[in-house]
Amino acid sequence: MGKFIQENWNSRMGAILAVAGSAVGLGNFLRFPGQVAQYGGGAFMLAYVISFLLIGLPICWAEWTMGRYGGRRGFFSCVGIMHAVTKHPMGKYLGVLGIVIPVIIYMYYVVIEAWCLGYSFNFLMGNAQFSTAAEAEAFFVGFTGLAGDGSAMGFGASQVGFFLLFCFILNFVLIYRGVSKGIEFFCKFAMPALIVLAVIVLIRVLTLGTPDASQPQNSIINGLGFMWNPNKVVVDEFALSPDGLPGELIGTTEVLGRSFVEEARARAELDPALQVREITIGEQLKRPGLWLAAAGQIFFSLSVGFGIILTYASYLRKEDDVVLSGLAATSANQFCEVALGGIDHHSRRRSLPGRGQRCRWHLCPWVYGFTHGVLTDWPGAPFSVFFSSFLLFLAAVTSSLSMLQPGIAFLESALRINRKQSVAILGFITAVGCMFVVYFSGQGLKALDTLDFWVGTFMIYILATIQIVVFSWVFGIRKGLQEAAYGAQFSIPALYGWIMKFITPVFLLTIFFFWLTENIFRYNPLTGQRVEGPGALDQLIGANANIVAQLSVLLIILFAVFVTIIVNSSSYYKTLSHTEED
Amino acid sequence: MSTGGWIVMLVSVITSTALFGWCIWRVARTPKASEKMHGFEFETPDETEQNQLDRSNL
Repeated sequence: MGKFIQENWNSRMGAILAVAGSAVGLGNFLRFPGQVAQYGGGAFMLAYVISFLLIGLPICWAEWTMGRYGGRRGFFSCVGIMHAVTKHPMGKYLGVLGIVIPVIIYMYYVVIEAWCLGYSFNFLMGNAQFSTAAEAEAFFVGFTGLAGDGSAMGFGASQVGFFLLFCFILNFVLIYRGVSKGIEFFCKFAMPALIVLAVIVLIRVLTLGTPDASQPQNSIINGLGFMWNPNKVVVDEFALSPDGLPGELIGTTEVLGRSFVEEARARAELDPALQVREITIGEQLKRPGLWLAAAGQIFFSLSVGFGIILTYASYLRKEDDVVLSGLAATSANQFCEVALGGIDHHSRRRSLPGRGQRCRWHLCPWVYGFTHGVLTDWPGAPFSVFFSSFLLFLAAVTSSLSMLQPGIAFLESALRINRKQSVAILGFITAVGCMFVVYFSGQGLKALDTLDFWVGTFMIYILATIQIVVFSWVFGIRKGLQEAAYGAQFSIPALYGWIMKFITPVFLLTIFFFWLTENIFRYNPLTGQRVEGPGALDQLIGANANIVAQLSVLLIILFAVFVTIIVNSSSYYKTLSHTEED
Repeated sequence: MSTGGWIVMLVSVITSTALFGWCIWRVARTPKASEKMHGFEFETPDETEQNQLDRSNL
């Protein structure tokens, strides 16, 4: 058995950058812009800010506080921290999810990270010069292995193998170096570099004007309007009945730009099949789906419910400020998401030709988001696209690093092993999972998609709910706020005690209920209608069962059992504290 | 983009940027908070073991 020692952050700024780096990922630059555009800029932003205040910030503060509390007692993983906070023998089992979630997500996240690096390399080397959407699609299909199972496993420049190996080694080298010399060291350089790259790309995108002169409506200004306009102008097209009256609705198209709106109104006056209408911000805010989307974006974007913040915060010292640190890390994430990702990515996607080619695949947002905006026949390409994809790579590395640390901390403390041993064990487990994801890349990236659904969405809802309930109801809201206030430059407002105890859990459970009914049971309680297509359970049991989806769930179960066995057999969790603290 | 769109975008961007800037300023102005707060170097567990082994061999 090796000797295990406690690690600490080397500086407070480093800790904040590491947590912010964990939160800033592909979702900031790909998922957020799409959500804002889909649900109507101004209305979505209002719901987004409210969700941030009611879900994001409370859970972040709870995780920072519980993490530091557990760390002071010698616990550095979600299992140990839940054990220390709940002070109950069963408490440690609540934390198993906090190990399973980040490790399983790492298995497919590092693959997407390798795509980002591979695209950067190929853009830089001139191997990816696309002038049509079909060319871009063909490259993506070949690179990711969508062509068939096992097709992505080569080591050429147009295959993911080499880039995946590089990313894998990079992550484990940094993890081996430790919290301070590895994660903190990398994030201190990567986070500022990421922001600089995002600003460079932003400037280039905002100065694109109208990339395709033959399509003047697809300008950057209209792209921004598509995303941020509070009121939407749409044209409804109807099928005409034999007597010339509008009948069934065929389609709806949003119109952007004053001149194009006037032109659409003029056409509608002449054509009875067309109807122009304005959807106001008030009408949009009445849609429950918009609130669910905004809350979901806050939830996923801040990386709450992953168990990562708990682990990172456990390396703080007793006197370190968790209130300002938590706010600083979340504000860094919001800055990257709203100010950088919000302006840049979707306005470019909207204005460039070939947009929206792959939405029909219904894969996770990262995947189809990544395939947009890669045409390179616009001015300033390929360097702008290289910067853009390298920016995504940096964002992905800072996030993937954070996914490994909970597993490392858990193995070292539960098994009392040293860093080499923990890195070897976790490296082997994640390598097996990663190969599984890369090999089963056919059928629309089925393995990646299934893991993302059950772990990257389903389980984090559960863990986030557990965390906020444990903090508010088990640990106690008064004790929790007192604990948070220790060493803080300012206290959490008293109002948040009430929000954390009642509003946040209810809000979370409501979202989870709607998500479950729609995605598992294929029923929309808001409309009372059945959702088309097979549900997630249909892929696991019954006539439509899919073997890759079944294997993916088996992988999750096996790893969860592995972690539970270790938790059950480890003597480390027999005591409530390994330090002089209570 | 409409006037409302400009307002929503600018308010969102300025607010998020200002909050981020304020937080970083508050962290940075805290004495000894930005660099080397704990003031010592850390070793990985393996390095510690090796150092102990070296010392015992002397």
